[in-house]
Amino acid sequence: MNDERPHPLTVHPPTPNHSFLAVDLTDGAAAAGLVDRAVELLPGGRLDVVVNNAGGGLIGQQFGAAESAPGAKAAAYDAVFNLDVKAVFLITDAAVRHLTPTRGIIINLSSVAGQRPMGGLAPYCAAKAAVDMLTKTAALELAGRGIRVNAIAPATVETDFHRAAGSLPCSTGAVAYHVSHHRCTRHPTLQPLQA
Amino acid sequence: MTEAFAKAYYAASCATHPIGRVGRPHDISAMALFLADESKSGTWGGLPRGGALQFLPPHFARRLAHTRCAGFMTGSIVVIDGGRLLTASTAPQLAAPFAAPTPAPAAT
Repeated sequence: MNDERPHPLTVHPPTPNHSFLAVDLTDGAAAAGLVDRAVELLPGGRLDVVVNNAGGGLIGQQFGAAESAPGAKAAAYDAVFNLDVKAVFLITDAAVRHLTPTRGIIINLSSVAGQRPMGGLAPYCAAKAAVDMLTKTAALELAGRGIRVNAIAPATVETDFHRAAGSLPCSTGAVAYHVSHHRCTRHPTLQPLQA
Repeated sequence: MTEAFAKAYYAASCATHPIGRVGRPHDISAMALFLADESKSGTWGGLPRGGALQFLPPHFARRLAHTRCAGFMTGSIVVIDGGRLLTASTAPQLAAPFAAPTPAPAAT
Protein backbone atom coordinates (compact mmCIF):
# COMPACT_ATOMS: atom_id res chain seq x y z
CA MET A 1 0.00 0.00 0.00
CA ASN A 2 1.32 3.42 -0.76
CA ASP A 3 0.46 6.71 0.80
CA GLU A 4 -0.36 8.46 -2.46
CA ARG A 5 -3.76 6.91 -3.00
CA PRO A 6 -6.63 9.31 -3.64
CA HIS A 7 -8.67 10.38 -0.72
CA PRO A 8 -11.52 7.95 -0.06
CA LEU A 9 -14.81 8.90 -1.67
CA THR A 10 -13.21 10.96 -4.40
CA VAL A 11 -15.91 11.69 -6.95
CA HIS A 12 -14.76 11.42 -10.53
CA PRO A 13 -16.49 13.36 -13.28
CA PRO A 14 -19.59 11.36 -14.19
CA THR A 15 -20.37 10.16 -17.69
CA PRO A 16 -23.97 10.55 -18.86
CA ASN A 17 -24.92 7.15 -17.50
CA HIS A 18 -22.29 6.47 -14.92
CA SER A 19 -20.76 7.94 -11.84
CA PHE A 20 -17.52 6.80 -10.31
CA LEU A 21 -16.38 6.79 -6.74
CA ALA A 22 -12.82 5.80 -5.90
CA VAL A 23 -12.75 4.20 -2.48
CA ASP A 24 -10.07 2.24 -0.67
CA LEU A 25 -12.12 -0.81 0.27
CA THR A 26 -9.41 -2.04 2.63
CA ASP A 27 -10.54 0.84 4.83
CA GLY A 28 -13.52 -0.61 6.66
CA ALA A 29 -15.17 2.72 7.42
CA ALA A 30 -14.83 3.85 3.80
CA ALA A 31 -16.27 0.57 2.54
CA ALA A 32 -19.23 0.83 4.89
CA GLY A 33 -19.87 4.41 3.83
CA LEU A 34 -19.57 3.70 0.12
CA VAL A 35 -23.10 2.42 -0.35
CA ASP A 36 -24.89 5.44 1.07
CA ARG A 37 -22.62 7.74 -0.92
CA ALA A 38 -23.23 5.78 -4.13
CA VAL A 39 -26.99 5.72 -3.68
CA GLU A 40 -26.98 9.51 -3.51
CA LEU A 41 -25.60 9.52 -7.06
CA LEU A 42 -28.18 7.11 -8.46
CA PRO A 43 -31.32 8.39 -10.18
CA GLY A 44 -34.08 8.53 -7.63
CA GLY A 45 -31.74 7.12 -5.02
CA ARG A 46 -32.80 3.68 -6.21
CA LEU A 47 -30.40 0.76 -5.75
CA ASP A 48 -31.15 -2.42 -7.70
CA VAL A 49 -27.86 -4.28 -8.03
CA VAL A 50 -24.66 -4.48 -6.00
CA VAL A 51 -21.65 -6.23 -7.55
CA ASN A 52 -18.83 -6.87 -5.11
CA ASN A 53 -16.16 -7.07 -7.78
CA ALA A 54 -13.06 -5.58 -6.22
CA GLY A 55 -10.61 -8.15 -4.96
CA GLY A 56 -7.08 -9.36 -5.13
CA GLY A 57 -4.52 -11.80 -3.89
CA LEU A 58 -0.90 -11.91 -2.90
CA ILE A 59 1.34 -14.65 -4.24
CA GLY A 60 4.28 -16.22 -2.46
CA GLN A 61 2.45 -16.85 0.82
CA GLN A 62 3.76 -20.34 1.47
CA PHE A 63 3.44 -21.71 4.97
CA GLY A 64 6.79 -22.10 6.65
CA ALA A 65 8.64 -19.71 4.35
CA ALA A 66 10.82 -17.08 5.97
CA GLU A 67 9.24 -13.66 6.39
CA SER A 68 10.71 -10.96 4.17
CA ALA A 69 10.20 -8.49 7.00
CA PRO A 70 8.82 -8.69 10.52
CA GLY A 71 5.04 -8.77 10.38
CA ALA A 72 4.96 -9.25 6.62
CA LYS A 73 2.78 -12.33 6.79
CA ALA A 74 0.24 -10.74 9.09
CA ALA A 75 0.16 -7.69 6.84
CA ALA A 76 -0.38 -9.82 3.75
CA TYR A 77 -3.21 -11.71 5.42
CA ASP A 78 -4.89 -8.50 6.55
CA ALA A 79 -4.52 -6.88 3.14
CA VAL A 80 -6.19 -9.80 1.38
CA PHE A 81 -8.94 -10.39 3.92
CA ASN A 82 -9.77 -6.72 4.37
CA LEU A 83 -10.34 -6.29 0.66
CA ASP A 84 -11.77 -9.68 -0.32
CA VAL A 85 -13.90 -10.47 2.73
CA LYS A 86 -14.38 -7.59 5.12
CA ALA A 87 -15.37 -5.13 2.39
CA VAL A 88 -17.91 -7.59 0.99
CA PHE A 89 -19.33 -8.10 4.46
CA LEU A 90 -19.61 -4.38 5.19
CA ILE A 91 -20.97 -3.41 1.78
CA THR A 92 -23.58 -6.15 1.93
CA ASP A 93 -24.61 -4.97 5.37
CA ALA A 94 -24.89 -1.35 4.25
CA ALA A 95 -26.77 -2.24 1.06
CA VAL A 96 -29.60 -4.16 2.69
CA ARG A 97 -31.72 -1.17 3.59
CA HIS A 98 -31.43 0.19 0.05
CA LEU A 99 -32.06 -3.14 -1.67
CA THR A 100 -35.09 -4.04 0.44
CA PRO A 101 -37.57 -1.64 -1.21
CA THR A 102 -36.39 -2.59 -4.71
CA ARG A 103 -36.10 -6.31 -3.99
CA GLY A 104 -32.63 -5.95 -5.44
CA ILE A 105 -29.76 -8.37 -5.81
CA ILE A 106 -26.14 -8.80 -4.77
CA ILE A 107 -23.50 -10.48 -6.92
CA ASN A 108 -20.21 -11.41 -5.28
CA LEU A 109 -17.15 -12.22 -7.36
CA SER A 110 -15.58 -15.31 -5.86
CA SER A 111 -13.07 -17.65 -7.49
CA VAL A 112 -12.42 -21.31 -8.13
CA ALA A 113 -9.61 -20.68 -5.63
CA GLY A 114 -12.34 -20.76 -2.99
CA GLN A 115 -13.00 -24.39 -3.85
CA ARG A 116 -9.52 -25.73 -4.62
CA PRO A 117 -6.28 -24.99 -2.79
CA MET A 118 -3.44 -23.36 -4.69
CA GLY A 119 0.09 -23.31 -3.33
CA GLY A 120 1.34 -19.97 -2.12
CA LEU A 121 -2.14 -18.49 -2.13
CA ALA A 122 -3.49 -19.50 1.28
CA PRO A 123 -4.88 -16.07 2.21
CA TYR A 124 -6.55 -15.66 -1.18
CA CYS A 125 -8.01 -19.17 -1.26
CA ALA A 126 -9.31 -18.83 2.29
CA ALA A 127 -10.72 -15.39 1.53
CA LYS A 128 -12.62 -16.64 -1.51
CA ALA A 129 -13.98 -19.59 0.47
CA ALA A 130 -15.18 -17.00 2.95
CA VAL A 131 -16.85 -15.05 0.15
CA ASP A 132 -18.76 -18.19 -0.83
CA MET A 133 -20.07 -18.60 2.70
CA LEU A 134 -20.86 -14.90 3.07
CA THR A 135 -22.91 -15.32 -0.09
CA LYS A 136 -24.83 -18.27 1.25
CA THR A 137 -25.40 -16.73 4.66
CA ALA A 138 -26.60 -13.46 3.17
CA ALA A 139 -28.86 -15.35 0.77
CA LEU A 140 -30.42 -17.20 3.68
CA GLU A 141 -30.91 -14.10 5.78
CA LEU A 142 -32.13 -11.81 3.02
CA ALA A 143 -34.42 -14.14 1.09
CA GLY A 144 -37.31 -12.99 3.24
CA ARG A 145 -36.73 -9.42 2.05
CA GLY A 146 -36.76 -10.52 -1.57
CA ILE A 147 -33.04 -9.84 -1.93
CA ARG A 148 -31.19 -12.51 -3.87
CA VAL A 149 -27.47 -13.06 -3.30
CA ASN A 150 -25.33 -15.14 -5.65
CA ALA A 151 -21.63 -15.49 -6.40
CA ILE A 152 -19.72 -16.06 -9.61
CA ALA A 153 -16.57 -18.16 -9.35
CA PRO A 154 -14.30 -17.67 -12.37
CA ALA A 155 -11.07 -19.47 -13.13
CA THR A 156 -8.32 -17.56 -14.92
CA VAL A 157 -9.66 -14.55 -16.81
CA GLU A 158 -7.63 -12.06 -18.77
CA THR A 159 -7.90 -8.86 -16.77
CA ASP A 160 -5.58 -6.48 -14.98
CA PHE A 161 -5.83 -8.85 -12.04
CA HIS A 162 -2.74 -10.91 -12.73
CA ARG A 163 -0.48 -8.00 -13.54
CA ALA A 164 -1.41 -6.59 -10.15
CA ALA A 165 -1.44 -9.82 -8.16
CA GLY A 166 1.87 -9.12 -6.49
CA SER A 167 0.89 -5.72 -5.23
CA LEU A 168 -2.37 -5.23 -3.44
CA PRO A 169 -4.55 -3.32 -3.59
CA CYS A 170 -5.72 -4.05 -7.09
CA SER A 171 -9.00 -4.16 -8.89
CA THR A 172 -10.69 -6.63 -11.16
CA GLY A 173 -12.74 -3.87 -12.65
CA ALA A 174 -12.62 -5.29 -16.15
CA VAL A 175 -15.84 -7.17 -15.57
CA ALA A 176 -17.57 -3.98 -14.59
CA TYR A 177 -16.36 -2.31 -17.77
CA HIS A 178 -17.81 -5.12 -19.82
CA VAL A 179 -21.15 -5.17 -18.04
CA SER A 180 -21.56 -1.60 -19.11
CA HIS A 181 -19.46 -1.44 -22.25
CA HIS A 182 -22.34 -0.64 -24.57
CA ARG A 183 -22.84 2.68 -22.86
CA CYS A 184 -19.49 3.40 -21.34
CA THR A 185 -15.98 3.25 -22.64
CA ARG A 186 -13.29 2.27 -20.24
CA HIS A 187 -13.10 5.11 -17.81
CA PRO A 188 -9.66 6.69 -17.61
CA THR A 189 -9.75 7.02 -13.86
CA LEU A 190 -10.42 3.31 -13.50
CA GLN A 191 -7.41 2.12 -15.44
CA PRO A 192 -5.38 -0.35 -13.38
CA LEU A 193 -6.46 0.89 -10.02
CA GLN A 194 -3.47 1.36 -7.80
CA ALA A 195 -5.32 3.74 -5.54
CA MET B 1 3.49 -10.23 -11.43
CA THR B 2 4.61 -8.25 -14.40
CA GLU B 3 2.69 -7.93 -17.64
CA ALA B 4 5.09 -10.41 -19.25
CA PHE B 5 4.51 -12.84 -16.42
CA ALA B 6 0.76 -12.43 -16.79
CA LYS B 7 0.94 -13.17 -20.52
CA ALA B 8 3.08 -16.23 -19.96
CA TYR B 9 0.72 -17.36 -17.23
CA TYR B 10 -2.29 -17.03 -19.51
CA ALA B 11 -0.53 -18.99 -22.25
CA ALA B 12 0.41 -21.76 -19.84
CA SER B 13 -3.08 -21.74 -18.33
CA CYS B 14 -4.70 -22.78 -21.59
CA ALA B 15 -3.58 -26.32 -20.84
CA THR B 16 -5.26 -26.37 -17.43
CA HIS B 17 -8.58 -25.09 -18.77
CA PRO B 18 -10.15 -27.95 -20.77
CA ILE B 19 -11.88 -25.49 -23.08
CA GLY B 20 -8.38 -24.53 -24.23
CA ARG B 21 -8.28 -20.87 -23.34
CA VAL B 22 -8.53 -18.67 -20.29
CA GLY B 23 -11.63 -16.63 -19.66
CA ARG B 24 -12.42 -13.22 -21.02
CA PRO B 25 -14.24 -10.55 -19.04
CA HIS B 26 -17.36 -11.06 -21.17
CA ASP B 27 -17.55 -14.68 -20.03
CA ILE B 28 -18.10 -13.43 -16.50
CA SER B 29 -20.07 -10.25 -17.14
CA ALA B 30 -22.68 -12.23 -19.10
CA MET B 31 -23.48 -14.19 -15.95
CA ALA B 32 -23.56 -11.00 -13.89
CA LEU B 33 -26.18 -9.63 -16.29
CA PHE B 34 -28.14 -12.85 -16.11
CA LEU B 35 -28.14 -12.74 -12.32
CA ALA B 36 -29.17 -9.09 -12.40
CA ASP B 37 -32.50 -10.17 -13.72
CA GLU B 38 -35.37 -8.59 -11.88
CA SER B 39 -37.07 -10.72 -9.29
CA LYS B 40 -40.49 -9.14 -9.33
CA SER B 41 -41.77 -10.21 -12.71
CA GLY B 42 -39.67 -13.28 -13.28
CA THR B 43 -38.63 -11.98 -16.69
CA TRP B 44 -35.89 -9.72 -17.95
CA GLY B 45 -38.66 -7.46 -19.10
CA GLY B 46 -39.32 -6.67 -15.48
CA LEU B 47 -36.07 -4.77 -15.17
CA PRO B 48 -36.73 -1.14 -14.37
CA ARG B 49 -35.94 1.52 -16.92
CA GLY B 50 -32.36 2.44 -16.27
CA GLY B 51 -31.61 -1.04 -14.98
CA ALA B 52 -29.20 -3.56 -16.40
CA LEU B 53 -31.08 -3.77 -19.72
CA GLN B 54 -29.80 -0.34 -20.67
CA PHE B 55 -26.34 -1.82 -21.08
CA LEU B 56 -27.45 -4.31 -23.71
CA PRO B 57 -27.82 -3.75 -27.44
CA PRO B 58 -31.53 -3.21 -28.21
CA HIS B 59 -32.03 -6.43 -30.17
CA PHE B 60 -30.52 -8.43 -27.32
CA ALA B 61 -32.61 -6.62 -24.73
CA ARG B 62 -35.82 -7.32 -26.69
CA ARG B 63 -34.97 -11.00 -26.89
CA LEU B 64 -34.20 -11.19 -23.20
CA ALA B 65 -37.46 -9.45 -22.37
CA HIS B 66 -39.16 -12.72 -23.26
CA THR B 67 -36.64 -14.97 -21.55
CA ARG B 68 -37.10 -16.59 -18.20
CA CYS B 69 -34.77 -15.13 -15.64
CA ALA B 70 -32.65 -15.96 -12.64
CA GLY B 71 -35.32 -14.86 -10.19
CA PHE B 72 -35.29 -18.24 -8.47
CA MET B 73 -31.53 -18.24 -7.90
CA THR B 74 -30.10 -17.27 -4.54
CA GLY B 75 -27.19 -18.54 -2.50
CA SER B 76 -25.66 -20.12 -5.59
CA ILE B 77 -21.97 -20.12 -6.41
CA VAL B 78 -21.89 -20.13 -10.19
CA VAL B 79 -18.64 -21.58 -11.46
CA ILE B 80 -17.54 -20.22 -14.85
CA ASP B 81 -14.14 -21.73 -15.37
CA GLY B 82 -13.71 -23.31 -18.78
CA GLY B 83 -13.69 -26.66 -16.98
CA ARG B 84 -10.79 -25.65 -14.73
CA LEU B 85 -12.19 -27.40 -11.66
CA LEU B 86 -12.45 -30.63 -13.62
CA THR B 87 -8.69 -30.79 -13.83
CA ALA B 88 -7.71 -28.82 -10.74
CA SER B 89 -5.00 -30.51 -8.80
CA THR B 90 -2.79 -29.61 -5.91
CA ALA B 91 0.17 -31.30 -7.58
CA PRO B 92 3.30 -29.28 -6.78
CA GLN B 93 4.00 -28.38 -10.38
CA LEU B 94 0.62 -26.66 -10.61
CA ALA B 95 1.35 -24.70 -7.46
CA ALA B 96 4.55 -23.32 -8.91
CA PRO B 97 3.16 -20.15 -10.51
CA PHE B 98 2.09 -18.85 -7.13
CA ALA B 99 4.84 -20.19 -4.93
CA ALA B 100 7.64 -17.86 -5.97
CA PRO B 101 8.60 -15.58 -3.11
CA THR B 102 7.81 -11.96 -3.83
CA PRO B 103 8.59 -8.79 -1.98
CA ALA B 104 6.13 -8.43 0.86
CA PRO B 105 3.72 -5.52 0.71
CA ALA B 106 4.38 -2.57 2.88
CA ALA B 107 2.65 -2.69 6.21
CA THR B 108 -0.95 -1.60 5.96
